[in-house]
Amino acid sequence: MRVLLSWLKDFIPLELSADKIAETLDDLGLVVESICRTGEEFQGVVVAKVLDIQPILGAKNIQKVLVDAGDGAKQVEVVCGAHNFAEGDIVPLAKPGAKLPGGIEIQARKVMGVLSNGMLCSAKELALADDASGIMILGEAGGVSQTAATGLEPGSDLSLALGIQKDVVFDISVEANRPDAMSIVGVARDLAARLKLPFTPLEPTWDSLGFGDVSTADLASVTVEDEQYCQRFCALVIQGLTVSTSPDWLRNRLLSAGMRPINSCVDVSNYVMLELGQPNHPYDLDRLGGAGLIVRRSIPGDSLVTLDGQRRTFGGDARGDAGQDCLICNANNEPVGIGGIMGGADTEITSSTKQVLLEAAYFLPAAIAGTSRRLGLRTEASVRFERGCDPWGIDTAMWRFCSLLTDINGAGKTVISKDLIDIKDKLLPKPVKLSVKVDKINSLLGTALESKDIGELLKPMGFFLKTVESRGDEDASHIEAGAESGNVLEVSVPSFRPDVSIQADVAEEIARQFGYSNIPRTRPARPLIGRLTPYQRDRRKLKEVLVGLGITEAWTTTFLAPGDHEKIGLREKAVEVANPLIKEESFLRKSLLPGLLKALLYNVSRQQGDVRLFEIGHVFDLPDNGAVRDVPFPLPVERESLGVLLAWPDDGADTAVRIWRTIQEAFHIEGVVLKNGQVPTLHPSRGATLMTHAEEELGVVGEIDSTILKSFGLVDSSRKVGWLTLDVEMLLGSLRQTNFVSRSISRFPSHDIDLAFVVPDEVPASAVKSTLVEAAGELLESIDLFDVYKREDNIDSGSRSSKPEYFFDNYSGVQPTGNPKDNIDSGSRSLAWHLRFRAIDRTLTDEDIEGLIKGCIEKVFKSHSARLRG
Amino acid sequence: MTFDISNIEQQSQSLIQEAEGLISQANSMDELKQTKQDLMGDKSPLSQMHRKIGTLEPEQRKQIGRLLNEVKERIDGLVSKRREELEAQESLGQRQESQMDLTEVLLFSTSATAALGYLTRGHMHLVTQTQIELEDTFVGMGFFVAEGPEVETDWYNFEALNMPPDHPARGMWDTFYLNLGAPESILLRTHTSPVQIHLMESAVQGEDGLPIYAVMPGRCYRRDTPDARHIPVFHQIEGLVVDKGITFADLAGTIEAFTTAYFGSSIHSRLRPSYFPFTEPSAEFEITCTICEGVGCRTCSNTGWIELGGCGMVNPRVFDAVGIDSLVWSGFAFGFGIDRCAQMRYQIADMRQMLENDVRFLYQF
Repeated sequence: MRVLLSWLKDFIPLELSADKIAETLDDLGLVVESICRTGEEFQGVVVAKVLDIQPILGAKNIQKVLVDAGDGAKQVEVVCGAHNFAEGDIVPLAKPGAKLPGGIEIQARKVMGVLSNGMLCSAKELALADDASGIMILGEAGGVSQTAATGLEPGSDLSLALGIQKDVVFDISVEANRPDAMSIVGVARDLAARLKLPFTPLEPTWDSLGFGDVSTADLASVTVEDEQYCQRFCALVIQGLTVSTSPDWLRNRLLSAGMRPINSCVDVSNYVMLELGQPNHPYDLDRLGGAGLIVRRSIPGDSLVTLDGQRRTFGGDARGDAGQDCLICNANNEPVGIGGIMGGADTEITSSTKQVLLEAAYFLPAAIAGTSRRLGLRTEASVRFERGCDPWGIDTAMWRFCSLLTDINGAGKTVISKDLIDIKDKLLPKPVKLSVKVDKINSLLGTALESKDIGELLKPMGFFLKTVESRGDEDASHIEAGAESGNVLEVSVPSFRPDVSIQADVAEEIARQFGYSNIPRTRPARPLIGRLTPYQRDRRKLKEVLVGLGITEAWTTTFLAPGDHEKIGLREKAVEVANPLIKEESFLRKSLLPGLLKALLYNVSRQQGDVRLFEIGHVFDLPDNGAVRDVPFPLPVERESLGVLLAWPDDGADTAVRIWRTIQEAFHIEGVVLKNGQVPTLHPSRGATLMTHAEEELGVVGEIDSTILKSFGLVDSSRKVGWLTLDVEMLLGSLRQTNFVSRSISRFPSHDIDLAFVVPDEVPASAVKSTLVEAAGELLESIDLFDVYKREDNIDSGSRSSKPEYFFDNYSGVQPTGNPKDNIDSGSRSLAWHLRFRAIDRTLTDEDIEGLIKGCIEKVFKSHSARLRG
Repeated sequence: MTFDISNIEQQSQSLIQEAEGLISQANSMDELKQTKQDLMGDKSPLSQMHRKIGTLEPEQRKQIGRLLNEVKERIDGLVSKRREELEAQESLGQRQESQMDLTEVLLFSTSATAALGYLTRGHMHLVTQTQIELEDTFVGMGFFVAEGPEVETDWYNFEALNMPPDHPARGMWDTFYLNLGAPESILLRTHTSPVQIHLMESAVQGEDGLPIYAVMPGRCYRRDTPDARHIPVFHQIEGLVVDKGITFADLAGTIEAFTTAYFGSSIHSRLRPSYFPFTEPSAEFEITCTICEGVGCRTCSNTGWIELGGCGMVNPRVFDAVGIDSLVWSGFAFGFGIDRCAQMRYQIADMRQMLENDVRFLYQF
């Protein structure tokens, strides 16, 4: 909302600086987004009267002009190239030193031997209009009174003549609850109240206007069929019009307010809307195609070409009430406007319009909001109606329209129909009276205001207050101890403030005028003890563990492109966004993998691809079919997930497994087994599932399949990428050991034994470990796999390594004993274990150890068709 | 040297003197070993003297034997001392050979260090770091941290927050809807306020009970075209207090306490009237510009203040929606962007970097 300082001054005597006014507006919640000063570009440009026009000897196109620029008898001589003016005309003169918009500085200079003391300006040169065809004529000879009052006295400042003298335009952002502030008077009223200045509202004086003998109803019929959406409808007819260009002061106010001047009738309509906040619409009565208006709900098949030239259709969907619009139709029931939003092109006011039917109405805000959203059409009218216009301010707006148009059109010519058609429905909001308790206000705001203070704050904004006898009503028991059962005020809310409907709204109005900064600052009397939940603490710890492992946290977008899920082998449908910004962001992620792969690609393509990334975020799955059918709101299944993507050189499935092991240890996770096997998204032989004892999948770990990397644009075939994903809610929820207690440290020496078994490839190391743990019993303190050896020619053909692979770097110094080629058949590998035995209460004997080892060996032999390595 | 018993004392003295000279000239362990052999070995004068002791009178034997032993011990001592000196020299030499330029290590490229699997830390995302700091500040002020789903029903995101369908204020939040259920019934939350509704509902149902002092961080979605200041996927933290006797003054005081605690004692807050359907009175809260500390600069458009978030007293209609008696309980709520907080604090020019995951960005924090 662009608010002109000069316009505000029509209603309040404002003498403050623009900055101070802006500050006050800010403090009232009418936030000033920008301040623009107009009129300053006309410094040095004055009004001048043409006295004499003389040819210049030898010059074809230019002439010498003598003007009165207000310097008494002294005439000013200028040279001019235009010929569209005559002696006696009033024109703008830029004197030497003047700066024109666009940066031209005027200097006295000699042209063809004649000294030109300035320049007569065209409208274009003054950036007032596009007209560059000649000098701007401010007033024709004899046609205007040249007085200081009209601003057209020679020598007076041009901006004065145009009514835009040193004006200031405040661009105010008006909150959705303040329809009253979508008008000059509304802003002026708020300002006046805060600044304690008198506010002079417009008072209709119908008597001064010229009325005809004919009743409005005889000129045009009005029927309101849709009294739910259109709760008040006023109309009258104005005849004897000559539609013209509006006077400059009007055009300039509209321009400064950001509206394009069109013609006198339309400009007055817009002016009234800006000034009073009441949208209104003039129809060309002769073009209406049926002298009258019908207000009705749209039906399928209705359509209209609106003022913006677009054909719009209504009531076409079968969504019942919610999909219908309020239409204004002519007497033949053909749509001529969308109620409260935009009129039709066929009935718009043109230069040939002679009589208009003026409409001003009150529409149901929700109906306007619905239609506006449905059509994607926001207009100056719709934004006001959807916030709620003043249902009782329509009369003033009608009068203002008639009064302004009469002034422009000429009092003698303009004829207004005898009476006002005014159709009000019983649904029309009536002024509200609220019972407000002074203590309640104070206990809500933390203030110590008295009834008198509240009255002084509210009354200037149009509220009426009455003190009601205080009675010990049922609410009194709830008032905090110490507060007296105070006065009750009956607050009458002005009809232009539909946002004030409960006590809390009144409290806000009081606080706003009191000044938020004048409210004391306290703290709640009894804060509780703040804390994180165990889950939140653990999630932080999980991040710390990962960061400690050199992995950097990424935040990827929740949205994925069509096909992203399919690329990683997730073929079930994902949750789809109904209105995505772009197609590439139209599905909710089921997995963190595509997002992290895209992040990897982003860095790879910037030559910084050696990264390790993790993310903890929500993933979404469609609700199962049953839920979709049975529940009115089928929410997706939403879980918190962890994804770890490892792409440092030499990273791979083994790195991912080690990261899992670190997490497992950090949270004392027990009972989760790593099951080798094919996992979609992972390398066919380098992936595993993490299964809980309850056979639930906690996650997967391994190496991303190279075909998937390629599908995401990661084409470097030498890059191996490790991947670990876990369900965080399961990990930190049901699996998290909460009853973990410490283990005593034995003071006795340990017995350390290394055992290497040759085991068939299909037997997982974890199975051998389980067997050993079981056989060794409670005297086994720790067990580590420290060497894996496979004969060279048995190595997976996918590996390019020519040496045996020692997966565990930290033990790589320990070479298997004997000839590595010995004893290992193809289809088997050697697993070397380091077992440490220790008792809590004694030193183990050789016999103890011998028995334990024997037991371990036998058990592994038996269970896994294994043998000891020679 | 010949052994002459008559001047044995003199001889031993010269023996020691000679030994001192020889030992000090030994410049390696091998030389020292040789010198020791020369001085004390079988063929050494000392040994020869020893051998002759047997031929002496018992009285003399004892006296001279003691003298010779003293000489031997003395030489032993000299050798040991020299050995220690040589060992120290040798070890120093070895250590000097294995010298490291520690500045090389310091300057070695991070990615190469990472490639070697050596000590490189990862980085928590700036949003996480900011969120943790904010959470801790509020936890210190007596709040707990609550979370909720990112996908919500229209009721939790709008209607319970006093925004019935077609409420004009809905235009303040451009919303992503999902193809689930009835059209526009299920959406991506546009703020974390739905968590407030869940919290109040469960409080009323007796699960946690009133009062509530909570903050709600989380990911939110608005259908805004991304630019330097807006991203459609962003993070917000909101606060909710519901207790008896909570006032607007408490809200103003809490905001101020948080501002100075989080941003520092030179940064203050102020409230300005605003509008949110779920609070009444509503306010926007601004803080002293963190760039110029209130003097006025480009960032704050010379006002000295920058907008951080919104707040207000919980609208009684919201209490009605969740079944809290607004005659007994009152409360306030506030909210602001976590990303925006970080953006202001670290002067991040373009918000879009938050979700790009460029490691040049991530590694800075």
